[in-house]
Amino acid sequence: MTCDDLPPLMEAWLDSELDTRGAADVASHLEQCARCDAVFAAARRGNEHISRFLRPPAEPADTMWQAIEKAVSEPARRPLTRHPITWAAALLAVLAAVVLTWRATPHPQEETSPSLVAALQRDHEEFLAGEFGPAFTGPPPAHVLAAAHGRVDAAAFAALPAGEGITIEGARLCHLDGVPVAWTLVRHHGSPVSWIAVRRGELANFPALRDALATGVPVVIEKSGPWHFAARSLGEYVICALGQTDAAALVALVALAR
Amino acid sequence: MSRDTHRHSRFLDYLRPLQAELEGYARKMLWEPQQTADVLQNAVLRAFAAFDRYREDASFRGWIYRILTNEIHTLNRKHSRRAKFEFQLAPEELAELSQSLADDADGAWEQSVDDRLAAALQSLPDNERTVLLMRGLSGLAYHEIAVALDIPLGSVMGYLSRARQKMRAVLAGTELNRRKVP
Repeated sequence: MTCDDLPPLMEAWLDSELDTRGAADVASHLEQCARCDAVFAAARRGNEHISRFLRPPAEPADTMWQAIEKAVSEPARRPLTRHPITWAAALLAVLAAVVLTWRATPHPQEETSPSLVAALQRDHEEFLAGEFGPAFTGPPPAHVLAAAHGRVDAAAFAALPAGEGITIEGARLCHLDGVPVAWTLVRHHGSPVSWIAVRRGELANFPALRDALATGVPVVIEKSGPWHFAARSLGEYVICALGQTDAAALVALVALAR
Repeated sequence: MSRDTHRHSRFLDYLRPLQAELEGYARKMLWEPQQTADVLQNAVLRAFAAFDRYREDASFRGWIYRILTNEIHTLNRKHSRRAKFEFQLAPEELAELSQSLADDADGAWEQSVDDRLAAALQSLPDNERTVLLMRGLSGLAYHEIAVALDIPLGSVMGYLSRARQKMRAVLAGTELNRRKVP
């Protein structure tokens, strides 16, 4: 067995899933080859870390499982197969419910929920079309903050990216679907990026983004046509960036913001 | 004891030892983890309805994982139109990102390693994520995974190998970052 034979067998060997002869061949090679032995040891440590991360809850969620077991128990006590008429009634009830639900909901919820990404994209395209632009540079003037009625403060305009290749052109107060946000035009190596800070409390207006952040991922991203979008929580605000900058760079911008 | 009662208690005898791992598996597999209870209940009811067809000589774990995985994939597909916010960075890009942030001495990149592993897990293709969770979370043997997913043993090994390589790449990037930041 040579070094080239080992990679396809590594996971199976680490999981003790190789047959006796295969396992012996691998073990024999590892004893003689310090390089392969080091690779396998590093992979084992990595797999142990991944297993710790993946481990299931120590105890199942009792309330949930009690409800599931109850649901399983009920048909056992009242087997429908012994009462064919019950099947017919249940089928009719289900059909009625489906029809009523269908009639009551002509549009799926996801099509009616306001999308922060879509609203920001519209604003960005309007900026690119020259329909609006930054209104001030530096800290926001008092009249801008007054127009926000306390829903955006100076800190929102200060939560900005920094680093090589990043320039801040200016800012203004914008409204996305009626929600006030601090909008800043950032350039990343010359490419325009619409940058906003929106209060976390305002995300009730944008449930898709609120739910995505609630999953605990460090940065949520979306690709929409030519645009990349990235967002993360920062203090009492959520900061978002949208532009044609590649996704990794956009995530880095959001990650480095203060 | 009636036949129905016997069937019911036998089913629960199989199910109860697996509850924690099934719950953890569903929670990590779902695009919308808040639907864990719903998807588990649907899968368990489906399994119970089909329990007469379960062969005692087969692995109950593999069998119920197959049912649960189908339920999860169905639900994930249903939500894929609006699951717009999946973390789409490739793990290699995540690793590079960790390195590029290595000079961030005052800790702007404060997310834990687990957060980054969670993001990487979400970025895996469905088949790699499924196999990784079946092995890494539930501890299913390779042949049980092959049965549960109805795929050859070689595919199980291939998916698992690719998934772990990507997850280890994230860990490697994270570790590099930790060493460089004072």
